[in-house]
Amino acid sequence: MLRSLLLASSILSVTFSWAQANDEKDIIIQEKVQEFSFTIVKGENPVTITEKYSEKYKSTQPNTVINFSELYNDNETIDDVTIKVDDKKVKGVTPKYDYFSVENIFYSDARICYFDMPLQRNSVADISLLKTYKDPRYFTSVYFTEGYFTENKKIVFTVPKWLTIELKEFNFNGYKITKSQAYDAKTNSDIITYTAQDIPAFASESAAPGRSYIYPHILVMCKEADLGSSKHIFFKTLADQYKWYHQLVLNINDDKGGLQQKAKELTAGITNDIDKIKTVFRWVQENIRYIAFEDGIAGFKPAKAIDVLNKKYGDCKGMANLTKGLLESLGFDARLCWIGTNHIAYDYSTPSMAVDNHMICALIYKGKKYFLDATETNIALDEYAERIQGRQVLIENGDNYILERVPAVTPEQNLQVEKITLSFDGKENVKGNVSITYKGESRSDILNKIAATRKDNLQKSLVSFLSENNMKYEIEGLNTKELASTDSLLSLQYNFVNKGAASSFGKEIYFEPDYRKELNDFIIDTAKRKLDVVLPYKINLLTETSIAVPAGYKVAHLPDSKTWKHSNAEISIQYLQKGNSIEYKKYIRIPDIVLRKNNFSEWNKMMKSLKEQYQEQIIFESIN
Amino acid sequence: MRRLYLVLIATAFLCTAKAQKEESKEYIKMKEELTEKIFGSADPFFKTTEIPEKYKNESVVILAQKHSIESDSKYKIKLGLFAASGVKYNFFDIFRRKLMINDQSALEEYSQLNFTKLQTKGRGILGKERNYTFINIRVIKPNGTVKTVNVDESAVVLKDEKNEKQNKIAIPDLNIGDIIDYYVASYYQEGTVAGGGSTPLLYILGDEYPVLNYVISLQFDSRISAEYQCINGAPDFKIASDADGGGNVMSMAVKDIPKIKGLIWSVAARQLPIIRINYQLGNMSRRNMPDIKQGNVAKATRSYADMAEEDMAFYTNASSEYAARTTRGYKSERSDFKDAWKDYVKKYPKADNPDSTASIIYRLMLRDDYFRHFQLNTNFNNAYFNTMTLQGQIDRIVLFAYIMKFEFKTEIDLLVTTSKEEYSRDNVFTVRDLSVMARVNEPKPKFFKFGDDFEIANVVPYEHQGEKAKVFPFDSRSFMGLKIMSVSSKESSTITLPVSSYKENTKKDIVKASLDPSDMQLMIIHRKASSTGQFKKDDKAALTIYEEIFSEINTSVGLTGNILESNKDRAKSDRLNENDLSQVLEKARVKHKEDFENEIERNYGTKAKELKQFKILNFGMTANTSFEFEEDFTIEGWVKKAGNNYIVDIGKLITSQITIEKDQRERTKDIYMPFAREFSYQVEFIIPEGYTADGLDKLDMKLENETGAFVSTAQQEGNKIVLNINKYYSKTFYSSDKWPLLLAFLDKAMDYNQQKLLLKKK
Repeated sequence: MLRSLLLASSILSVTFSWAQANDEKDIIIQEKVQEFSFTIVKGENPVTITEKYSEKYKSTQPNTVINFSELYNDNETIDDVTIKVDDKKVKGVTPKYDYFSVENIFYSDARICYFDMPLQRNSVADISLLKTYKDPRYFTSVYFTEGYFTENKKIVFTVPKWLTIELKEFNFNGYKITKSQAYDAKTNSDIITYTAQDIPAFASESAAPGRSYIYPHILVMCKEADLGSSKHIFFKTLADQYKWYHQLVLNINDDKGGLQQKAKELTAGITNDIDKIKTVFRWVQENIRYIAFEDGIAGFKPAKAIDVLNKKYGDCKGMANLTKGLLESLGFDARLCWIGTNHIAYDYSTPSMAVDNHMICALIYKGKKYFLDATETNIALDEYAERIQGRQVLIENGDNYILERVPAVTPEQNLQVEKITLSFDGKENVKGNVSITYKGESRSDILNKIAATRKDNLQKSLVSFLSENNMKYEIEGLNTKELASTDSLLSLQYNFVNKGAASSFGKEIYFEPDYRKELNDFIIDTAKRKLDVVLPYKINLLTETSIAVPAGYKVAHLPDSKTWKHSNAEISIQYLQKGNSIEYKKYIRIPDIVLRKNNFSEWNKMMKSLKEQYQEQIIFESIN
Repeated sequence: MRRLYLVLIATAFLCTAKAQKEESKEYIKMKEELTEKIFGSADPFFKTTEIPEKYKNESVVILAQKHSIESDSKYKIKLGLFAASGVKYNFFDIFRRKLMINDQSALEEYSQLNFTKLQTKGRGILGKERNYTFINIRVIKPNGTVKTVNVDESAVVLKDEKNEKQNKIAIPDLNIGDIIDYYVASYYQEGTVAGGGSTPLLYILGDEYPVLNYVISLQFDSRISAEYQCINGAPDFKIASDADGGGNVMSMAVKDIPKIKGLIWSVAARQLPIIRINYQLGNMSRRNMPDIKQGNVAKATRSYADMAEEDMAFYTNASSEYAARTTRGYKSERSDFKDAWKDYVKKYPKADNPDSTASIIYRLMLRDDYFRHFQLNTNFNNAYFNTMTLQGQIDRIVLFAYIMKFEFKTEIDLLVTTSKEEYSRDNVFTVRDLSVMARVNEPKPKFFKFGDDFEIANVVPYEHQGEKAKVFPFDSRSFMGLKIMSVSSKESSTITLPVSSYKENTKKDIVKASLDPSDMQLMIIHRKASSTGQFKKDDKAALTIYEEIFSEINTSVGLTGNILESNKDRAKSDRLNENDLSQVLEKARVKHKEDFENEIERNYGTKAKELKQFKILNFGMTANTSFEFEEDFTIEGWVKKAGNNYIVDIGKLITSQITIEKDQRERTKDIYMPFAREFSYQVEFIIPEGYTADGLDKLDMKLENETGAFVSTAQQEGNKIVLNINKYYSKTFYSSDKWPLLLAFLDKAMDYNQQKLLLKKK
């Protein structure tokens, strides 16, 4: 059932969830002191980081439960956890350590230390924890925000003079955060202390920006350690970061012969270069299942292309590497690329492992760079998914690198056009035909939904999607075979009969010309929504409906045409009588997908007005 | 992602098992032999690799699936290493499935599998008892190439404990059109017969995908007994002697089982082919019937219902004897309840008559439950908290019987019955298929169920209405020097439980609607809703909070005061801190509004713009009172502008109506409704000043037939439109041929739902 519903919700009728989490302040963190220090050790990674924190939870309600959790992984260890309530050790509460399953990730090295601790009203729980980061490269950020409202928070970095570090502050605006610095002669260290007050808890809201855009935090960049006899460089510059990535790539040792055999088989008979590229890209998109791995160093090192080819599955790195391998074997200049999706607020001006989270393949052909992301199953060549368009991309280039941006695209890439011709069959029923074309991400979106729908439900789901779940709207002649087309344009045609679409009263017929009503009720609850709303992609939608005036009737009333302009969107609805027909034209264009909080009220005004417009009726009156 | 189907029985040894991280020699040897046995030889049922034309559009087709159990004491399976295991019972439990991946969603679903690998040795009476699981997967490509998946290489480990590994595997090189053929096998040993009890097996012939071959093969050796049933059209087993003689092989092979689609108003236990089996080591005893001797298999007969009813009587007597031993036959409870009853009739002298006594005692028992139950972590947002186990219900009935019989000299019976949502009496297999109630006979028969804390005295829950019930009168007998309650089959008889008519289960809305003069597109609604009979329980569960029901229950037994005051009556050790209790109650009160907002959204299919106020007028705590509430709210979107005129979605005021989707409009299966019921709506809509109303003619509808009706009338009275709508389902059960009659009036209701009214500017 869930699956057919999946298809039924177009992105323009999304309902968002609003944050409820810990708003009530049943439990608060009265104080948290989080201290970071750096130690020289023997071994491959000469510097480790110790994190020590202690936090005091207080319950304002009887019978609450603290859900404590701390994540770690192969590069981090949790060395000690102590739990006290009202200064006494707690019986029966012991931390559990377990595999942590991350949604949509097949396997990761993430582990979780967790426990639930009951807390009575006005009791105070002290939890302290000791954690070690084995490699400063993996220590990237410290957030002020916690799972509970935090009254006082202190973050202290004790930075020895032998370590070069950069602390970059993000999203401090609007928060009470102060910074101080002192020198401790005893340890020859700078002590940098941040103190913050009254930090609200993390909000869990759908369609929200990535957390690095929202919450106050410090991006930590360990650059270099002067160990006396030698210097150890982490990511001092982007070149260092590239070097580290590139080394991992160099060690892959792929079976080039095997790749070439496959590439030739795929492109046999194709002479045009662009067609060859399209064929290879399409084949990887369709035949390699995306399965995410985030497993220690394997989280950064792509799998062998030949293994991905044989297994028919891989993560983004493996799929990028296979795309590259196949294209390279055909003589094209294909490169691996690292990229941070739009989920991340940083770019490569701050070298850090936190900057990127994705890999794709770049193809350089006749001086033009095409970026191929095969994890986007249904995006065409030279079209770009919202999450990577306009983002900085680090392109492999031997010992050096190329830093560029993926082209930013306009909503025109995602054009969706619906053309409807309709006429009356009696006074209340209408019939006609529809042709819809989807392009770019509107196409990719619908194809993804179709792929997730069971074959035996597909026809039913598509019909209910196209009819807006209206049983009285019957569809005929819909050909689902065309869905499999590899064309970059998806087009659907069908005939329909919509019974009871109009209402007749005496000599008049009342008719509402728009039955899709995209964005209808897209009102943001400003009392509840805390974060900006991020739409999945840029919208460009055009509907043209030609309505034949029913025989024996004339047009008695046409609603006024209307246009709305908002910082995010432009919408227009027009009604025009042309001889014996009415042309209804609707245009929705959303070039900026981030609906910002300060624009919510304007947005809601527009939506209310749009909703009213959608309900406006055309009135036909009998001539006799 | 799929979890592999795994029949795992003997997990009790896990805790004592020794570390077996690496595969032992014997594990490896057994693994190889299983591979050879299952994948090595051609099983005729697993031969097919083609799907018939009619299933080409299915997401997944199960080409074959087989569940087999082999029990063995004589090492026929030549696992030489186990020759030394003596007289232990060795079980192999193997589930194999071969399926065709036919679309992208199936590929996603089956390409990742979770499984658990066990390798343990527990210590039993006869030495080490093994418990191993094995998994093997292969992929068959369309050209016939068979690729065996190296499970150990392809899997990642999610949990790696001493004797249990949780793994996850991504199946490599898998495409649409491929066939996955896999099995999960478990091998386990059990040492002795004593106290083992029986193991149940359940097969439902019908899954979310069509199955071409469904094979069951159960070999029970000479030391095992088994009973079984095949119902609702399931074929019977073929039973043959096993190779050694003394045991049996039960087998069946069913061809072409269609997939099961979610069907409205249907009951799986009464409509799907089902096979149930119990097997156990040694003899199987049956009350009032001969034992099934080890080495024998018996098919359940009609008299299984009698046997299960006798079992229920036995458990009732056991509960009574337990009460005699532990509480001297509920000595203090009896006098407490008697005293409480005395207090009640002192306040309400009219209640001191035999007709009301049982209901008062029943309510006092309920009150006692609520009084003991609440703690600070109770979910005070919801009044519905307790669903009794079967044992809990038996205990309640026994206590009720002690009080009624000994304190009030009233005749009382145990009723043993079936549920319409479960197996029919003809298909009763175990005592767990049955339910219990009590009947008090004086002066008129009254029925009491102790299923949960929302039951009402003298209301037969819908699931038992019209079902047969075995009546066991309670009588007293001597036990350990006490007079105790007991039931005996000698006195038993059979009755049919009463059925309520649609007039007894009603929902009624009285709605006053108008348009906001300052915003004509905003509808203002005042609604008074009431429900009776079987409807009340769901309404109370959805719309009341704990505190409210607590006060109502206090009132129903003549006590005044709310939960905070009752808390003071608790023994000191059980008393909750008053501030704490107030605080958690207040939290629930604040959230209470959401219950009503949600009800509006559920019923009208749209959110209220604003719920201005709500109030429960009557909690319907007794059989003959209704649950009633009223509320004021506004709705946006039901009034549309048309030039100077407005179109009003007037049909929406009757709440959203059930829609029968296209693929359910043809029906061959009978229709099981919960209960006969009636919905009525009285709507008054005020015509705004300066407007006339048009379109009333379409609001007169009438469709009445033997299955039910939808009848509506509309008229204008001054500036009001008055609508009267009535819809009812006449029965609880309809044969499938009546489906078009039901659709006829359901469609009318749906049509009405879409009707509009024109408000024309004068």
